[in-house]
Amino acid sequence: MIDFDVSLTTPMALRARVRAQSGWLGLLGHSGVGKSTLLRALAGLDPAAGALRLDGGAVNPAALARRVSLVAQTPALIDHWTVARHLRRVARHHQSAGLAGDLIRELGIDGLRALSPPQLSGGQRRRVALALALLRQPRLLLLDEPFSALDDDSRHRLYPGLQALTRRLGCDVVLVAHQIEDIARLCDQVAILEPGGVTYCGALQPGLRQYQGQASPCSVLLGEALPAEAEAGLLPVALGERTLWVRTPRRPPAGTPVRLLVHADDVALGAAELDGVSLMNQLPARITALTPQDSGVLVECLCERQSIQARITARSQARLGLRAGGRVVLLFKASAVSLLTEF
Amino acid sequence: MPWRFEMGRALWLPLLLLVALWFTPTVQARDPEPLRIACASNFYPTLKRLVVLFKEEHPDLSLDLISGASGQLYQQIRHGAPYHLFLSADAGYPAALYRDNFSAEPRTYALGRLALWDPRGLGVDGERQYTVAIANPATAPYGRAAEAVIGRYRDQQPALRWRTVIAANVSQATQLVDGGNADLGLVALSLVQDRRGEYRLVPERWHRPLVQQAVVVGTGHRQAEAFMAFLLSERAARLIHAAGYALPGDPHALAE
Amino acid sequence: MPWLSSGDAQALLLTVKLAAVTTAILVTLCLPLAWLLVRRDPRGRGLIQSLVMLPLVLPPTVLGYYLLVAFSPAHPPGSFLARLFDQQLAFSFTGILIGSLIYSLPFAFRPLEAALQQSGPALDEAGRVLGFPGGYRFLFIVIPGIRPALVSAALLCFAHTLGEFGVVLMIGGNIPGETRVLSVALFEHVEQMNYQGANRLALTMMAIAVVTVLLSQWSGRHDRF
Repeated sequence: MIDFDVSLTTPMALRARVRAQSGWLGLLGHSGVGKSTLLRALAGLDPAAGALRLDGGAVNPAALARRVSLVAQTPALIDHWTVARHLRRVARHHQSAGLAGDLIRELGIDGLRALSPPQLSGGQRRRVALALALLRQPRLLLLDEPFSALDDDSRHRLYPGLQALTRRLGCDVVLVAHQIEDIARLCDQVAILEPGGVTYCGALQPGLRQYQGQASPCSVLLGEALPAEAEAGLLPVALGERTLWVRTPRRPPAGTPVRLLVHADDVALGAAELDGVSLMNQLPARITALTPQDSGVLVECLCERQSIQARITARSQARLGLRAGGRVVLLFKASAVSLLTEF
Repeated sequence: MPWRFEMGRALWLPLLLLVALWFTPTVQARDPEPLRIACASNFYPTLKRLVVLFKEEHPDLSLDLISGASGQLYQQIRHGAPYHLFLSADAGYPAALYRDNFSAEPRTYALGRLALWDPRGLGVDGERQYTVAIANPATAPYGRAAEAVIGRYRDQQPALRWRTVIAANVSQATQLVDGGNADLGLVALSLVQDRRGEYRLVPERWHRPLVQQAVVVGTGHRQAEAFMAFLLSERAARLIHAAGYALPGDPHALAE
Repeated sequence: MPWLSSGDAQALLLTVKLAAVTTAILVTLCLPLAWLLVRRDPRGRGLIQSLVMLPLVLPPTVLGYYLLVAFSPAHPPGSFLARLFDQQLAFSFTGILIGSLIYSLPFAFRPLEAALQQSGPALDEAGRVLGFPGGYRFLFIVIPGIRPALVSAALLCFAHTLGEFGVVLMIGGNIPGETRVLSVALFEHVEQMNYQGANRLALTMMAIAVVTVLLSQWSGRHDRF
């Protein structure tokens, strides 16, 4: 269980109440709303009032600080210690020497042992700080934008390893990430932080839908992999009765649950299915809501009991005469769909 | 508490040195406790020679000699300075100590003489301005005597242009002249009689007599009385006389 | 023929001992004190800083005079101190040690406080993030983190105490082995026109000063962690 109720007065007034399942919780919110501040308070670095419950029971702030690890955006390391010394001393202090080897390997920091923090790049610092945070064997791990300094390749390499590590350690994670894709990939639940407090705490898909703050709204879909096609790079995914086509080099075994991401700006709407076009995905759906935005209209649709968002121009909406309850066909290419980590 | 002591090697070494240093005896740890003699500056060189003689009889005794202006030493004794003997340049300070129960009865050990020292042969000339170094009249008996003497010189030669320079004690006054920072010095005879250059004995009647008295201070030291006896003995008397002092009851006046 | 007479060698050892012990005590006391000041930032901070600065601007003879009065066993605090140390403080090593502690305090305190102010909080927070408790953080993370300032403060304090004259003279007298420090011994040699002794002592003190400066340069350059 991730269960806390924290009140802050400085630097901003904030009351954050969260109850969520164990696992990964994504924390969404605009810049400046207080995500980092909240994480710091949870880690016991800044004074805050309130209660944090671990394993169901309330814990005092001192005990708390020992069970909560934070990896900040610019992680705090000790400049006059080498990486090796950091690892050695933290492992010794938290009696987790056995864990160190795995962490070093998983996070790829073996070659950095002899270096000290001023000599590390941003991404390297991040990985070292992650290893150290996990070496503390925390019950709750707080990650503040851990992927922002990493290139796509490193990021993708890190995801499965991180999830496996936290699962193995039995530790819950609160993740603050800029890219919705990161949240979608790793989290099953999200909480939305707005000025003053938490306005949503629950499942991933509805949360993402509610989170209007994105410049680029997207939808997360859950499906099941089907036997791979002969054509390389094309993966069929079962979405209820329908088939969705995804361009990806990965070939998960048939039956594997997969998570997919599609941006609303990549989804077009049509009155009926089209012939003679290269679009692989044409899904009939029903409109559940229409929301005018600054740039166009956000159309929420339901297909096979999953919600998909499309963003079109107001002009097109008028032309097609779309309204809530009406039937449409969702049109998008196979390449518009990303395969997030299969789980 | 799973702390391990992770002090670098660097810390152990200075710590060890420090502990060793603290326990190093800097005071000569010999039995008995050293005999401390506080002595007026004028008599210090003489005292050193006397101590050499005394140690012939007492080879195991260690002595610490402290010098300064009589008034300064007197004040220190009143403030509890750990001296066992006090050799003053006058009779006033020992009398005060005796009166206030700081010491035993004073004994005269020497009679001092003032000399005008002129190492560079400048002469006592009314024309030119000279600096004359004297001990501090506030704390040194020789300084008070010198002050009176300057008055007499001025009576004799009203045109005398002397500028007085005051030193902490009579030894320092001598040093000022020796080093060239003062031209002339009105100082103890014993300090200059073996040095280069000319000196003139100052007439005794020009100042109050420099009756130098010694006392055993406080509860004292086992050997304090022994040294006092030695100081007043014949052997010592010969040395003191040769050093430029007259002796109590001594019919021999030093040559004018 | 030894370079220094036995009396002067004794003075040298005594002076080094005084400087070393003063430095050790001051550094040990000032580190936690300065850290407290930096962490808590109490309202009286300015006052404490001014008090610490005081010996810097106070003439040594004034300090010596007040100490002499304070040490007098005729009344407190002297009477209490005399009982505590089981000896009279004026004219004793303990007395000049106390004098040195006050006299050299600003030289130890200020560089330490400045360094802790600058680097301390960041180091402390990093230690917290890594899960170390407060005492451990102070001893093994913050203090090693300010090592250059630590060495500099220690050397400064040491060198300053070595040269002490006015205060020692006022409260120490000139007791060989107890309070006759190098500077007093030198003064005495000159007074008694023992120029050879004076020269040798002066050269020795110069050599120590030069070595101290070189050490502080070397330490500043070889700042490896």
